[in-house]
This record gives sequence, C-alpha cells and structure tokens, in this order.
Amino acid sequence: MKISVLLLSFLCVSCTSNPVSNTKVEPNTVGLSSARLQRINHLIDQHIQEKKIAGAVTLIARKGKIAHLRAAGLADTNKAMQTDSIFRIVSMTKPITSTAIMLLYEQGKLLLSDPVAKYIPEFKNQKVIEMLPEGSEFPYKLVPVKRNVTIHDLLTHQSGILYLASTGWFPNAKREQIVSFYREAGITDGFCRPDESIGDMVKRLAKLPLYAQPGETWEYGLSVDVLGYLVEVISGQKFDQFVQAEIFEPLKMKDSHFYIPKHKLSRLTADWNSNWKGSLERVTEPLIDGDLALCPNDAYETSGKYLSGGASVLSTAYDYFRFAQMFLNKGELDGVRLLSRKTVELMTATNHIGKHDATLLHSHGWKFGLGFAIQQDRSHDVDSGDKGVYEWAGYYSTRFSVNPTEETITIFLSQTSPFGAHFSLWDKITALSTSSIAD
Amino acid sequence: MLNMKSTTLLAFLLCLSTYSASSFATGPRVKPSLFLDDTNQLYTVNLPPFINSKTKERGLLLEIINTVLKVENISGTINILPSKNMTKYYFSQENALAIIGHDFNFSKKTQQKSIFIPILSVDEYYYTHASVKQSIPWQGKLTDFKNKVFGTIKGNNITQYKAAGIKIKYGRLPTLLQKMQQGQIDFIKLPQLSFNTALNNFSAKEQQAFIKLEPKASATNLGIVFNKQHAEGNQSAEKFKSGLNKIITNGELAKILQKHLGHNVPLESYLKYKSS
Repeated sequence: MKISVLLLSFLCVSCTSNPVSNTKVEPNTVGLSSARLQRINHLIDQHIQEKKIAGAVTLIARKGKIAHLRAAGLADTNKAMQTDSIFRIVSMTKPITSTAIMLLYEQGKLLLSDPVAKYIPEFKNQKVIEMLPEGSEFPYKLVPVKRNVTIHDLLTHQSGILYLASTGWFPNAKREQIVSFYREAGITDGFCRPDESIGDMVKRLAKLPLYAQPGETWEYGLSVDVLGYLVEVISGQKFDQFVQAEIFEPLKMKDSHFYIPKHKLSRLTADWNSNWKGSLERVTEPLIDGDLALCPNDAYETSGKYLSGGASVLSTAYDYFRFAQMFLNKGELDGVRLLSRKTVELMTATNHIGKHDATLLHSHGWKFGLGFAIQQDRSHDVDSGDKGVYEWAGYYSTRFSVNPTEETITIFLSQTSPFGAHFSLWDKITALSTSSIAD
Repeated sequence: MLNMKSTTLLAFLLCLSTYSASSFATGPRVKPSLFLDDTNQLYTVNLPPFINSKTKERGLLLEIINTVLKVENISGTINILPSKNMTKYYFSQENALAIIGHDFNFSKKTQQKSIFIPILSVDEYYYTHASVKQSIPWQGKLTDFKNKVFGTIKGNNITQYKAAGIKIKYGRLPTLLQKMQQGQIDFIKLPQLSFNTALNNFSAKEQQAFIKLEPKASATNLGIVFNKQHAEGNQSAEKFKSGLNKIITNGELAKILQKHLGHNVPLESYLKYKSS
C-alpha cells in the first residue's frame, strides 16, 4: 500500500511540467528535426559571412523546451556573441507593457473600455486633425473627437497617435502636420532616452491633435508609451519598478532591464549599420534619418528618467523565451500564474482591430491583438506557420514568434540598422523554424 | 375590488411618470461631452517662470492673469499647450477668447482681430555656449550673427534673422540648450529670467559653460491678447484692463511680483501696463 502511494506520488511529480530552463534538449524529443534546424545555422552564418549582420542569437523552443539556442558572429568589435548577450529589444518592449496593463485589468483597477482621460486628465477634449484645401488661411482644422481614446485603443494602436518616424513609412500631408506638432512639442519616438520623465512627454502628447478619430484607424505609434505612463498613474509605482516586481521577477527574467546594471555592460551588444551588401559598421553616433532618430548608444546609460513602454527594455533570448512561454502556457510559467487563461485568450484574439489589417510588419491577413500582430489566415503572402501565430519585432532587428498550435517559440536577436533590411531574413527564419517540425 | 384595481393602476401611472423615457435609454459609455466644459478658452505655451504648467500657480504671468480674471469675474479656462502653432490656430480659427505670452508673430489679418494688453516687460539676451567653436561678435546688430545658427521656438518671428543671413533651427527650450551644448546651435534669445530658470536643470559646472552676450538683445512685452471676434472679446479686454488697474492700485500685483521675483527687484521695471 505504502509502495503504491509512493509510486503514485512519483508518477504525479513526473506528470507535472518541468521548470523551463536554458538547457537544450535533443530536438527530436520535442518533435523537431535536428537536420532541419541546422539550416537556420547556415542561414545566419551566411548572413554573417556576407557582412549583412555582425552576429545573432537564435532560439527555437517547442513544448516548453529549448531545442536550439545558438550565438553566432560578433556581439561587438573583437567580442564574440554569446547566448546570454543582452540586446536592445525596442518594440518587443510593447508586449511586456501590454502585459503590465492586463495585470492591472485582472486586478480590477482598469477596464479596457475606460477613457484614458479618466486617469490622465490631459487626454480630455482631444482634437482630431482634418486637412484643408491648399490656399486656406490655416492648412488644417481641428475637430472634436467623436469619442475619447480608450485603453483598448492604445493596446491595439487605434488611438490615432503616431510615431514621428511614420512620415518616412507612409508620407502624406496630414501625417506631416501631426509630426510637425510632435517636433514642436519635443515629442520623440522613444528610441533615444531624453532627460525627462515619460509622464512629461505623455502629457504634452495628449494635448496634440490625433491623426484620425479613435477606433477609425490602425496606426503604429506612441500609444504603448502612453500605456507605460498609465501603469505609473494607476499602480502608483514607477513603470520600471512595476514591471520588475510584477513581470520580470515572477518570470525570473533576470537579464531584462530598462537601464542596464553596470556589471552587465560588457554583455550589451553593439548596434551595426548595414547596407546589406557587405558594408557593416559599428554605430557610434545617433542615427538620424528624417524624423527617425535612433540612439543605440543610450542603452549604455546605467540610469535615467525616461521609461518608454514602447521601446526601453534590454533583454536576452532566454529571458524573452520565458516571457513568450508564459503566453504559450496560457499565462503561467514554472508554477507562477501571471495572467489568467482567459486574459491570454483575449490578448491573442484576432478580432481587435475590425476591418483594419496590421500590415506594418506583415501583410493583409494579419490582425492585431493586445500587444502583438496575429496571423488570421493562411491565404496571404506573409506566413508564419499557422493561423493564430502571434509575433512582434524591435527596431534594431529583433523578432519573436509564438505558434500556439504547434507550441513553438522562435526568437531572433541581432542589432542591425536599418530595420527594413532584415525582413527577408526573418521570414526565412520562421519558414525554417516551422519546417523543422517533424511529428 | 374596483378600488384595489384603481390603486394599482394609479401606482403604475405614478411609476411611469417618475421614470422618464430617458431613464430607460442607454447612453454611450464614452462620450466627449462628459469632459467638455462651456467656459471661454484661453491658450498659451510654457515659458517658465512666467508660464509654467509644473507649478501650482502656473507661473508669474498666469497668476497675475488668473487674479485679474477672478477680480473681474471673467470666465475662462487657461490651457497650456505644447505648440505655439496650435495656440494661434485656436485664436484665429476657433474663436478663443484670448491667448497669452509674447512674440505672437500674427499675420496682419489676425492682428486686426486682436487687442493686446501688455502686462510685464522683460529684458531678453542672446546666449551662447563654450562649445560653440567661433566666438560670437555680438555688438548690437543682427548682422553680427551672419551665417550663425539661431535656435528658436517654432512660431516665433524669425523674419529679421533670415534677412540678416542667419540660419534657423527649431526646438523646445530644453532641446535648444542641449543642441547648443553639442555645438549644433550657435545662439538663442530668451528673457533673462527664463534662461536662469532653464539653467536650473544643469549642474553648476555645466551652467558656467553658457555665456550671456551683452548688450541686451531687446525688451519683450508679455501679456494677453483678446480676440475681437469673440462675442465677449472687446468687453473682456476692457474688464481685464480695469481689473489690472485694480490689482495695481490695491498692491496685489506687487505682492505677486515679489512672491515670484523676490523683494529686492525694482518692480516698476517689470511692470509694463500703464493705466489709461
């Protein structure tokens, strides 16, 4: 009898999932093909040899186990890339910030339908810009919002708040006018770290006109920076402290920071400017291209005021894997429940942006959830392996992808500018990752 | 039995009359009217220490203006915007009651619509930084700055600078100071008090690297511009003048000035408004 109980206990222990670790397993134990995963190595090595990128860390996990974790090339001049190298993940900060908001949602401290003005009064009485015909006394007029910007609008980029850099992506007169206001008001995209608090920036931003009526557009922009400040207002904590206590610590993301600790500076990778044709130079100065301002070297600052919910986090492949695995596990990791299953389902639902498509990084057939783009169908030309795959990217060429159907996570971290050049590489990585599934 | 039925019917009718149709209607959860107010709107931009969204009194000039509005019972909400362009838009296109500040750079058409009441007069100086490679030969003529880069806030009048062959770069004050530190801008112009306030954000050592150029550039008038096209514009302007006179006479203005500037400053040199 006693032996039976003991045996049962052992069986129960073996039934529960093992803690997620950075130890690699044989790919075939999780239904992945070693030979096919090798193709990712060749692809990355080829890009390094051709001096398109200096180096990269790639990670493929399935069923909670890491089957591929590889560092290749250089992290900095004369310094080899390591699997624990630290990267500027830039916009991959956004899903973390969205998670922070959803934690407050689960605590009953906010509703997604709440107007932002309820918490940040500067968002009251917002106006929307309408351009007037050439020759008018003023080039534009400002009309009242039909309804106020809500937290849901911010999570889904339907607020009408832009990025300055968007003038380079989709130029038009209305966008130019909005960005001209942003410039005048000292609004930046958060890719540099100005000497002010995020609250100061958000309060100015709130008083500037919106590009479109809330809910009537899908425009990637500073909405998530506003969410970061909203976390401060609602929680009463500094944004970085909240994220540290409520996300990084419970998920044991030990190498994720808004400002890098001094003793980890040597692990921070350099950013490289690549023309994708063999000219690769370490970036030493801010990169200014029209309204786009990138300051990769600001990441070496060990302290500062600016906490961008859209761009500030530095992290490693393993840490981001832990974050993504929490989502794949429907909100739980290593026995710690961060989000409820229902909240993860809400965040990864595909119908948040209605008729709009999240085409910025993908194509038609991609929608936007609460923090990431989600593949809605398999009938378009950018395919990440399944319906329901969710992913996002960072401006220095970092990417992650979660496939809930196949239980896979794919992460690619490099530090290469400009961002646009790496699209084909990433699309190939997802194709190779998906095609390594062998069960 | 009939009585019982009548009582029930009466009670039902009473209930109906108590709950109007609108009580049953469902309103939109988020509607702008929840946040809109009906008061007159006044617009301005930050210019510490005169206009300062970060202090309770919102700066010296706004404290004076708010005091006068209160004395004269002029209703109005002062909005501090991050864009001078927007303040001008609201004044000329949306019939704002007034805008506040200085160097409005109005078009002739807008000037005709406006009644400017100067309140304070402050000295402005040009400032440069030790990082600027070539010294600035400022002797009082704008052409002394030919080919130099002037940093200013968008919306300020730059006509004379352009005419003198000076290049222009725009930015908010903190950005302009930072760019001057980096040698990207050669000089800026500011009221001395505003410059001193801005310097507080720098360390003592960094402060010493900024250089004030003598002689003074000009004196600028800070004040309020009422909109003649606003239904209450003319009347409010008259009431405002009257209110300003009252707080000059009763010493309230002097108290406000002393609170912000200290007791040792010659108040008459700051006070621009002369009662008519």
